[in-house]
Amino acid sequence: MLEALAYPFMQKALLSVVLVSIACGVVGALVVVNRMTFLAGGVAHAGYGGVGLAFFAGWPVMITATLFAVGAAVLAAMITLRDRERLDVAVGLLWAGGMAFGVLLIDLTPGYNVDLMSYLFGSILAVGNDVLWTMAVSVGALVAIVIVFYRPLLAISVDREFARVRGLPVAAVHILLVATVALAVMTAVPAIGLILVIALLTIPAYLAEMTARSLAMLMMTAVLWALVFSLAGLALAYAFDLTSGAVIVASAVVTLALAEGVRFGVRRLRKGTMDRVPASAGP
Amino acid sequence: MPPVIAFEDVSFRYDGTWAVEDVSFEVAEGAFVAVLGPNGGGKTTLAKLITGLLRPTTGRVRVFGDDPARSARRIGYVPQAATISPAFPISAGDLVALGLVGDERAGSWIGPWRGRNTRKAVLEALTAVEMDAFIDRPIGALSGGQRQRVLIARALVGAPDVLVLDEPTASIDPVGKSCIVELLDRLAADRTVILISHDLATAVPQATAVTCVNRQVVYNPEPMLTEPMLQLIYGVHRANCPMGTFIHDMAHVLPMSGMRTPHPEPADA
Repeated sequence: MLEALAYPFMQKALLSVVLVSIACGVVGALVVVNRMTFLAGGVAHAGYGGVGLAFFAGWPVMITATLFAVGAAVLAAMITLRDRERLDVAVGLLWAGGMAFGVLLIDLTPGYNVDLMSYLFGSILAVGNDVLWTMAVSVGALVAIVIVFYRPLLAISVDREFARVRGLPVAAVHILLVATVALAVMTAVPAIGLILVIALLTIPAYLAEMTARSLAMLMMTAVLWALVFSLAGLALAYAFDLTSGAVIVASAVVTLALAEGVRFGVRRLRKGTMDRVPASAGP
Repeated sequence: MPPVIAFEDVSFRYDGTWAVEDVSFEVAEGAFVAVLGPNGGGKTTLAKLITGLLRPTTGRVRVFGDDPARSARRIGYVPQAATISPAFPISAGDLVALGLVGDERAGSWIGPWRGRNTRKAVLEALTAVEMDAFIDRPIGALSGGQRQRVLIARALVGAPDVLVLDEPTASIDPVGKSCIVELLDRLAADRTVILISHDLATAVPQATAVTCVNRQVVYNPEPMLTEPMLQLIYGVHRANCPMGTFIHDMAHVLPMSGMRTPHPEPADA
């Protein structure tokens, strides 16, 4: 297995999963505590519109798709700011509209046969230097945004109404949060694709939420979980010649199922112990 | 002395339905105002107009003579407890520190590090509600009453001149409720308090003024329920109907002015 690390493509794959883990762990924590998984899914699929636009116009794919996704997410955030009840409609539009727009533009691109699957499910082993640099810059920007605006992000995540009473610009912080989610999604796309990114944004953060006592701790634990899944998935994909993105997500799903099983078992055990106490202690 | 809160012909409409209409009243400094009324009568709308969360459709709200949004730092707000998820990974101390959002004493809000004075202010606020021992406890590990005290501490940490509490004893057991009532009694000593509740036993004992809300508002600067107030909230009831009994029960809690209670107390021998 270790001999694989001698290959440059494997070194780049390793570096890309580390970057994806940082992005998905840090931003996934915000997605989970704000119950924004559906929005993250909509943003991911809106990014596909950006991919189509890039091919149609001949622009750099990752940068165009990222800007497109961030723009679409910010627009959805602004529309739903006043009426959060309509968030589902806005996300549905992002989700379906983004995909349709992307497919149509690629259809209209003359003489171009794009491998759509690589954007939907990622191609970790084919990540090039230019994409790696783009990912590194995006992750650096994400981490900087979260550090600088940690407390306003925490304030609106805990209680938006109270934050507004205290004079915090809640609308601006909400738009920043949604833009951050879009940036994280598009950072992960080259490695694990538009569809699987949703799992890596939510599962590590959900697992981390079981033990974390603060948002910062939740972010760090989620990064660690994402790293475990990414590295294990990469190793398994290499060993059994499987699609790496799918193996990474499958390892996360299996771990989540095991963790929930253990949690359920512990609860049952505690309940059983509690139920037995009054019976034995009775007169 | 100018009023702390002034409503001038205020009306507010949600999606075509008037929540409150033509409301005018003034709250004096140091008052403890019990805001009473049925569910859906507009009590929370009143609180949100005072805190600047809502802007009047017509009329004007003034807090310390200014727009509520500009007086935000002088208002402590305790929303209904259900607004915060117990599953959120945050300690009592960190939650209280959020009450210092935008407060220059807590240092800049840019960056993850708190100002030097934050820990001291948080500890003082938690001590005021007798929750200092729980500073590092996750909010999910606290009881409903303890969580409510932490929310009150979050409102207090910015040293507000007005405290607005929206149903602070809702979903709390009777022991927790009496602790909150005691706490409010102490807090009212050096600030203006607006307490919204449909629970008379909680809202009324310390009140120095009463406001009844049911789309319209009847304000009495004395701790006294009047017949117009009761009619506003509950309508006109016959002496032997259940609501008549309820009104009679309220006569034990607050003095009533100019009102004949449906079931008068038997005269002392």
